[in-house]
Amino acid sequence: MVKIITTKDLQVSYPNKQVLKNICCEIPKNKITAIIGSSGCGKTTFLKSINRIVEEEGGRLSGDIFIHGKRISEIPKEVLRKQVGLVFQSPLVFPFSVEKNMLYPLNYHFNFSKIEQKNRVKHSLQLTGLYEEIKQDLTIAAHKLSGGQKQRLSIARCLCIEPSVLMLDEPCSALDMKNTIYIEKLLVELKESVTVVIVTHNLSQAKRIADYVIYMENGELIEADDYAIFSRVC
Amino acid sequence: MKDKAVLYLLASVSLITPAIFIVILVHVFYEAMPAATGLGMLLFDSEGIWRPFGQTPSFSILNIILTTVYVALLAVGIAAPIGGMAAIFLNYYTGRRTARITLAFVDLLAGVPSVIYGFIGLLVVVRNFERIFNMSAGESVLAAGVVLSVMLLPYIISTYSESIEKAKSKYDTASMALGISAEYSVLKVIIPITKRGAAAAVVSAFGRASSETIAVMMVIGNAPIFPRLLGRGQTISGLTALEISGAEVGSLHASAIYAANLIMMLTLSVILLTAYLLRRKLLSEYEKI
Amino acid sequence: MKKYKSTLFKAIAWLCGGFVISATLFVFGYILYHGALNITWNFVFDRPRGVPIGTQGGVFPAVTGTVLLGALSGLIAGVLGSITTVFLAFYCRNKYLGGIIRAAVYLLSGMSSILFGLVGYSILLNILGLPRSLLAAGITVAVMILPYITIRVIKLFEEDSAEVLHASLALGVSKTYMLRKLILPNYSINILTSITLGVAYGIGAAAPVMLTGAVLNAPTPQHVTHPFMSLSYHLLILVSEGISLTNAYASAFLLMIILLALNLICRGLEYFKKRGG
Repeated sequence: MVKIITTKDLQVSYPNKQVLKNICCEIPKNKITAIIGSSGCGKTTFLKSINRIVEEEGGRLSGDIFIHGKRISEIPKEVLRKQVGLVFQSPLVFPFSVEKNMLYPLNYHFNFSKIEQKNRVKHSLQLTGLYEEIKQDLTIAAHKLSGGQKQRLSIARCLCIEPSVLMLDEPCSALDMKNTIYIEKLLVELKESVTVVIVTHNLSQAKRIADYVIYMENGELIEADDYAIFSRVC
Repeated sequence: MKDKAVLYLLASVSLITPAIFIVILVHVFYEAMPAATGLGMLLFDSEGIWRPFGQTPSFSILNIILTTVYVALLAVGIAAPIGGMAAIFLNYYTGRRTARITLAFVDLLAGVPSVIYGFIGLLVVVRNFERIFNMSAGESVLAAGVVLSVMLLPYIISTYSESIEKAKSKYDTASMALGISAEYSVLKVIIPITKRGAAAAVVSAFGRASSETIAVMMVIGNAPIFPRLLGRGQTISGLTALEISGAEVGSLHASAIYAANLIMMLTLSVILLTAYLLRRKLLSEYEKI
Repeated sequence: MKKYKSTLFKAIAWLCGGFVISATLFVFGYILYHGALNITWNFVFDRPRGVPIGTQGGVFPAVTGTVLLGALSGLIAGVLGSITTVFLAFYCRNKYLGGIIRAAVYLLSGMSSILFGLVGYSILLNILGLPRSLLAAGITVAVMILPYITIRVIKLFEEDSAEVLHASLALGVSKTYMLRKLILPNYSINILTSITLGVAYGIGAAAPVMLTGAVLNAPTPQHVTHPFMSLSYHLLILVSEGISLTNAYASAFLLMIILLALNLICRGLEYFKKRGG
């Protein structure tokens, strides 16, 4: 098993409480890792500590996180966050057109020609199936999309800057069955090229797609294992 | 039964405010009539000047209106970019504590009366203008614009800062997660989506600037001539404050002053309405997103 | 984004922020520094003297006049303003009536201060025949601060008026009872601070009183029909007529201290109220 992310004694605390305690774990490359556990156990904080959003929210981080064997505190935040995409629980689109939503991070991180831009945007949107659905009209206002489409736009927006890890924080909790299945299928396809980390409280979802499972409770890591874990937890 | 009586009592008291507004409007309109019928377009004669006394009195308020607009535009032109960037500074480049304390101080600045701004303007701005530009008298349109712009800053900063805060709390984490710097996020997301709020603030600020009386009157030199940046000028409010008690009741002179104030009142109403509509559209947009 | 662009943006933001902070400190510092150098106890408690008047002596009648003006206008505008807001928030069920009142408040709040002076002068003095007096000036200032107070209190009620109203009506309680037992006790501090801030705004304005009642030299008014001295008007005359720079500094200091004190007390009270409840 090739590891892409390793954490050592990871601790995160906010001014009023400690959220993560001594997390040591490894996340395998090009696999889907599911993080499960009851709500409030620190799953989201775990994701946010990997791309250092925790620090922006006033949290304190100690211990080490390595990505590709490199300590994340040694990587500039912007470079790190380009490598590690994060999709939030409630889909957030910027109040522009779909195309502008995609170009926003793309033009920041890359210096593409117009044609390259177009191709990259089209490709990312096709991956998520959005391109066909909005009938190739990329100038449509993003807030007019349905919830599922918005979430897929958020995923496409992450993918267009080619992250090596894609983290998703309960991406399907607000979606209907159809969109959920669509996203699950997408994640399975994606793992060829990207490492996927998904937080979910839905055990059957984890069962359906995960190759590796991390089980957390009260900010502590209880188990990290491949499939066998389910026979004990459930 | 008792509730009913209270209702009527409260309603009639509450109608005092609309009544006051109507009385003011009707009164100013009524007093401006002699000038409107007696002078007509001579009020806006570009050849004529404001010379109420003398052999051939002339009552053109054109220069005075132009000065009022010029000074207000100048003040907004200075205060809007500085205030806007300062609001961004407070939201992005200082700690939350520092920002809160600074905003509280800036709020206090809004409570400083205009006579004190005029006083400081006279002693600091006007005197320095005399030195820097080698003027015999530093009272000028530019001095008024500078003093006014400082007076507008608290309003612009607190209004715009509120818009930024709203937009920031909604979109900034998403931008950060995409690895985008604060500057890029401000330029590409925050400024575009707060532009309506900014427009409303600028329009209201223009209204405030054009209606300011005492501070402008103290530093502008009060000469009813065509406005030039380093020349003297006179605004509608300044003219009113200085001349109305000297104008004979019912005279053309007094009536022309009322006419200027009628124009002011109607313009301010349009400005306030525009700002209101901009803000309402803004709110509905926030709900939509 | 190019590195230099982002650095440039950052530099401009710092510059503007720095300018605003220093401008704020300068305005307060300038008046407080020069005022502290020039003020004496004698100045505060003496009446204006000298030729022209104001070159010597003090401003005591102006301080009392300002206080009386504030009290009178605050009383008028405070009563009218709070009644209007209570009506709008809890009683008015007619959309058009509410709209008209709100529009009038909003429009009136944006008018120039000299317009109030002009109309007050014209209607109260010339038409109704009131003398140049505390009463005429008090009414004029009250009209000017009425929309200011009303807008502040409306904001206060806006947040939870519907909720409170429905919850207490559901208990079968009459509106007047609810007002007496719930609204007024709960919001009394905020209403008072709103009125006080309105008064601070009113007594700082020279424009509405210069035509209606403020004069250069008068004793403390014994009656509302007497003319009076106002600090802001006094300062205006001292400066614009070039009478006395020393006394102008001292008057500005006194005016600033009064207004700052009112502002700080009110904002402090509101802050603690917010935190406490």
